Amino acid sequence: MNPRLILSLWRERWGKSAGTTLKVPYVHGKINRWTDWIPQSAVWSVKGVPIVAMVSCLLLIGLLMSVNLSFDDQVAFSILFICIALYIRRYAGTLITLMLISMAMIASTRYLYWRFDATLVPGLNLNFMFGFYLWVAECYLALLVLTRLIQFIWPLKRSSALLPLDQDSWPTVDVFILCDDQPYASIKLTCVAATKLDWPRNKIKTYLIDGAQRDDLFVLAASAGAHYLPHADASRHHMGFINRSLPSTNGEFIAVLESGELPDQYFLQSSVGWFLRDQKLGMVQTPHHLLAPGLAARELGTTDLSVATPSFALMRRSAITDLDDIDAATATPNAHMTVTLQASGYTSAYVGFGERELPSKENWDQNIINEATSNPSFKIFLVEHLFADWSMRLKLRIQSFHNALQFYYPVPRFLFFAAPVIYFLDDVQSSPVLVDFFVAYVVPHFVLAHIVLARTDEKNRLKLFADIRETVLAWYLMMLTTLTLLGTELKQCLARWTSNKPDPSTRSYMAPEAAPTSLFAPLTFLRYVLVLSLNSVAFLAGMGGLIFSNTGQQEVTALYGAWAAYNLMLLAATLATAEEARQVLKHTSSQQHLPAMIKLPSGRTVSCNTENFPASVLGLSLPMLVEIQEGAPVSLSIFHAHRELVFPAVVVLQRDLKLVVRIAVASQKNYQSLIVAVLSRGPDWPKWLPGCGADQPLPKWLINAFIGVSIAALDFVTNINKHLHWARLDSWIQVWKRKK
Amino acid sequence: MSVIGVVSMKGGVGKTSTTANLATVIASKLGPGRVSLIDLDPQNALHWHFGLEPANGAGVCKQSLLGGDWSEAVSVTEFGVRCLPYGDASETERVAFEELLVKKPDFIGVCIKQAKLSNDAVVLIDTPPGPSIYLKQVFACADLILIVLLADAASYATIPAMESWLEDPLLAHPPRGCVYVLNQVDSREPLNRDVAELLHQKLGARLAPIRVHYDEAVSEALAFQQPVLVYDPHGQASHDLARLAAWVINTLNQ
Repeated sequence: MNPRLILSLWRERWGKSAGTTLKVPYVHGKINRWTDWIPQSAVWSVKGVPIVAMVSCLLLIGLLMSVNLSFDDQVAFSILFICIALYIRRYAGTLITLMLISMAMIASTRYLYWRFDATLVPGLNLNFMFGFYLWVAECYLALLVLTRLIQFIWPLKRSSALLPLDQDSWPTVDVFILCDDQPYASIKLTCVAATKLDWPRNKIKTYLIDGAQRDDLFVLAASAGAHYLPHADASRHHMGFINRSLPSTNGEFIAVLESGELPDQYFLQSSVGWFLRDQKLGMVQTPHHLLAPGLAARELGTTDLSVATPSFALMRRSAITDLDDIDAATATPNAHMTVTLQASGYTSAYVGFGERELPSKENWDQNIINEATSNPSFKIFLVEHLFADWSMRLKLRIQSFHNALQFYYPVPRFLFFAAPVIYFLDDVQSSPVLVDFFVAYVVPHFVLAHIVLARTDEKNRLKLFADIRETVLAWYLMMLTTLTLLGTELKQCLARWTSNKPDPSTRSYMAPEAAPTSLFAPLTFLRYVLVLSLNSVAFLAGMGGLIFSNTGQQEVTALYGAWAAYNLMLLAATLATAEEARQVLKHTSSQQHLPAMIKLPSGRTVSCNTENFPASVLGLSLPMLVEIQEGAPVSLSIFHAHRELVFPAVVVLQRDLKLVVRIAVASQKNYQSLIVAVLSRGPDWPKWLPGCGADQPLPKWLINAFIGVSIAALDFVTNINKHLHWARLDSWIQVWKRKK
Repeated sequence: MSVIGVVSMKGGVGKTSTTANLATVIASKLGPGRVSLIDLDPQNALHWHFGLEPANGAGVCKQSLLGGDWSEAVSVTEFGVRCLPYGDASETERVAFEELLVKKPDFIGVCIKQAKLSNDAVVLIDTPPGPSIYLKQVFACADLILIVLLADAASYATIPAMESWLEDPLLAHPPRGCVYVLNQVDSREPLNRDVAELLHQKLGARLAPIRVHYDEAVSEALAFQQPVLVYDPHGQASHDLARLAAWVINTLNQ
């Protein structure tokens, strides 16, 4: 949670336009000409120059990190650093990014070093312990950011091959989802993600490939517009299924996905280009894909990364069909697919992910690594000993380290939330801070980190003032929304108290029964409320201390007060999102029991209720026993908002008063539309929570009146002759002018 | 006392069944003894829905011609509804009764008042399809007219004629409410769906918000001479009729 995220969530919550128009692309300017020129300069070819340059740069950075400055010098240093950073952040380019990152590293190291050197209380007391832990937590956070940045910059300078502009000339792609022995839920996730791949619809087909016939998958395939290919006779390993499915499919390229994998929407666009550029490229895959050699699996066993990253492979059909010994390839499970391709003259490439999250399109472009080099003898080495490569090894280590840091991040985060509370409630000062020094060190640390992270996050940048405005706006809106919310709640409480009975209409967004708590378990809720209330108390105590005491500690108090306020904002936003997610879940689960009717083959009807609405195998609670055979066709009507939707269905089973039916394949599409219609938020949803108009504190009519009056006044002043012609003002003005 | 007339411009829309079943549902909601049914249809089919065998063909027709009391012909059914059949009437008797109705335009209303029903009673009147003297009598005395329709083209075509009938300036007391009720809706049929949607758009609030679904149980219930609510309480038709009854009671109370 950070202010920017809060703002975007706020906008999404109330359907306001996102501030995307504020974003502008990075510019190419004079600096870029320098940065382009520097690496190509002839100086680098002179023997010794690179080493000398490197050593001197390292020395300079070391010096900048460790030099002890007086207060005034540090302020000047900070201002200079921030100004340089603000200037060069406008420009595009890798070198600029690297410069910004090293500047951020310098500023952060200086800050952390100063904190360790000057702010820890001497002696092994509580103050020291707490201050030290806080310092460690800050180092932890800095390390987390650093590993993330390294992952961002390392796979640089690999541009993705562009596809032709004309979409008609794009090749056709078949997506194979391997479903054998996989649970339905994970297959469904992958299937839905596969149908959302950004590729011309007439050039992509999705196939669910399975070992045995499964009815639910058949239905899923039909509903998602995919094809279901069960192969009971195929040899039961992945290559076997793929080979068995080749004859019944015809796409030029084949993407192989495991169930449970969520491919990025743009993954085809960013990887197919490679095949078009290099006609001998046979396969692109992630290192963790099941078709990667066994080596990968062994390596991954030690690094345990197989969980975190998505895995897929994309291969050329002709490459597989050209294999001399396709039966042998089929017989060898998985591993030697790449090797077999190598043997028949094809190359393969790998795609790596630096991020734990699914990468965005931009990251994709930068992360793709084509290891198919022109040196044929090197290729086999690369493929077979991919993870013996030291750089790949190191990258994997860094990634796993980053993941580990990410996993344990809640621990230091708790310290950040607790620090102001502990200061205010127990007077444990984590560090006897000299506030002016603190500001001089921490501001460049924060500003540069912000600039660098924003640069790695998004393709476009916010202008400086838009950036400031957005950050301030997040605070402002958060406060106003909270106040409106509290006001409304208070009003409702008062109304209930005065009328002395619960008024159902005021709490209409709270469904009375069966609030699902899984998303926001009581314990989690309690934890949040505890931290929130402690921080509120701390904040209030800080405000009180600031106003009533004059012990000379006011600067420190203000610092911790601001810290507590920041914590409060983050916590409030977290609570708000959790509350909204709970509402969404509640809304969904409240729609489980829709009124329904089944029409039996005899023409009789039974009025009933659905038990588990969005499922395509629907349970119905019957009011009486019905005699019906399993497999009998029935017609199911679902009533929703004065509408009746009819679906042909088949009885799956009946137990006492429960009937299970499956919606027929042909109407799956309509059923999906009904699900969307029933579960989606209505346009009135934002009105359920107060706080919608927080960005417009003044009523519209007042603003309009103000604008109207201003325009009228401006018009009057600028056209004074026209309006006051009856007073013969024009002649006076002329006279006055002539006098001048 | 509330009087509900059930009418239609076209035969075969399930009007008599709807009347009988609706009366039973209203009776089950309001308690026994409060709901009465009058059959003004010369087909004399209403009593079959309750398994009644009226002695010596007594009914509205004969009793009215004799100038006697209607109450002698009323049978109390086991379903909490009092039923007054049209009665077995010869052709001459029917013609004579209709002449009587022509002469006295508010005859039925006066007779209902004379029957000394309780203040909170509900009377449902079944009528023959299409324009007739019976329909005029019902228009003159009913508080609520339920016009039964099928969701098909033929029913749709009768709406203009029905509208012009309802706006007839010669009507002494135009009924307070007048609502179309869709009967035997089968949403599996595209035509049925489309006509239902069209009617919903065209009639708006004048179409009852509850549609009665097509249900084989309604026909089967008649074969067993029972109201559908008793024959198949969990069928969709029973369900719809129950909601329709609740809606009718609500409308009458307003």
